[in-house]
Amino acid sequence: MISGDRETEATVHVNPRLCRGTGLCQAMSPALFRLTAAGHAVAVEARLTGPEELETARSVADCCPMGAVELTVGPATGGSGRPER
Amino acid sequence: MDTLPAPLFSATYFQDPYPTLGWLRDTSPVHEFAFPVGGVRTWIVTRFDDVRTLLADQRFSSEGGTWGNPEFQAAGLVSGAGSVLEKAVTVVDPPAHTRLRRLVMSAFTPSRIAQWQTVVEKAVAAALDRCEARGSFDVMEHYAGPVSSAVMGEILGLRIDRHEQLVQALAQAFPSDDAQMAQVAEGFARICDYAADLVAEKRRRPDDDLTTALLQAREDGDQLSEEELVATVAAMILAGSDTIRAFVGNAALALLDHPDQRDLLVERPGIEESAVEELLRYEGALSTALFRVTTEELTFAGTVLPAGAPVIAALLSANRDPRQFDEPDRLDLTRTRLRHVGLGHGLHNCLGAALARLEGRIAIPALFRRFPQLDLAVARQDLRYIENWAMRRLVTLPVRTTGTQR
Repeated sequence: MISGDRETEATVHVNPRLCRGTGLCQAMSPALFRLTAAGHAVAVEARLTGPEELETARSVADCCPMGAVELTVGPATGGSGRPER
Repeated sequence: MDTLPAPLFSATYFQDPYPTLGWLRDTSPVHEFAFPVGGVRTWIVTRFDDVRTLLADQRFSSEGGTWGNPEFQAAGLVSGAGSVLEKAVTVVDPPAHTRLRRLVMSAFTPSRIAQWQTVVEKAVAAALDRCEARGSFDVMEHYAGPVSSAVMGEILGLRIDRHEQLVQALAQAFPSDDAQMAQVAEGFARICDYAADLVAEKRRRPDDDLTTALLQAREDGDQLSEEELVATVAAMILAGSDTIRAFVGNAALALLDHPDQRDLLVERPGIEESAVEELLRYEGALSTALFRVTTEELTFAGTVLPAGAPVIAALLSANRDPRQFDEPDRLDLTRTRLRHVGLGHGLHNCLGAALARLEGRIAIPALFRRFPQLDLAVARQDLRYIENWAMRRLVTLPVRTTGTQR
């Protein structure tokens, strides 16, 4: 679920165990996601900056049929960031 | 064009589309033809890479009513036109699509779907018991059909006394016989009515089911409107019942055709997951994705497509493309890291993919575990497929059993 805070830094990750290469993430946002030659999705850049990128990544995470897109809100270093899904 | 092994969407094509699809991949990978309904100029894309590219490209819209040319619209080819289904998540573009899909997926997450394992197991066991009592049976009518409609009814929270009505409405909406085509609209209307009743009932008496979860779905203070709710429930019934029936039937036949793979499925623990992926690749339920229409004139894989042109992505063909798969016409349950388009690709890939996989993973091995001696009860060449361009489904799959194992 989406938390109430409006942090603008986050890390996005595609869980390779869950991803089936459905291509939804790439179709929704080719700027943030791409499919590898083997057909798996990966984040173009793990670090997201800015509220628009974060909102797009949240939409993609919510729409992925495999629940494979994982978002962690917070600064890059330190283990305090919590996965949203 | 006369050299096509069988004309697209002809009676010969429906019974064996593979020679035609192979010819198209090699000779005319973005192929123009006259769609049988209304003779509308249509293009069909058959290679794996092209199908994936097309389905990921937003210049190909799912909104036939918005972007389709007048010829396409006049022929009545817009999905759900004039009904509540025109607003369904299956046939809208972003940003409306993103909003709807987020709301629907919030009620239909893979973890929620995993909780329905027991529902599927019970439906499978009950159907197998009835098949066993019959001795010989039709996989489509007595196994795949009852399992898919029982699971859908249970998940949506349909009262059990309405299950049989749902089966009848689905049979009307997806006929196996051309003579019943006149009833299709009535079948769709009945399903929309069921969906509306179900939404009203769950609003009065919320329960632990998907309809209630959709009613309660919220994202950033947003929720589904009444019309969207009914469209979503109807779309789930329509997209999640006959497809499963078709897939289980195709998978059963594929395994009857490949006894070594059938033995492997029954004997090797843990192979179910990769087996379902290969069975989805080998012959899934859908021959094609729903129509896409071009939002502008564009060049695709070297072919110029005018604006508003209807384009068909041939999923069945992509999954048999030798450019992508070694020996594509051979069923091999041990293929690893398989990426196929049996559940579509891109924005509109199957929303219920996790449920389809769950049902396949349970229902397909269970049939062969219960009946180790399952055999076709008719000659192989007498099996027929329905004459539908988008769905690949057997009319009947009669089998007999000469031994059972509980």
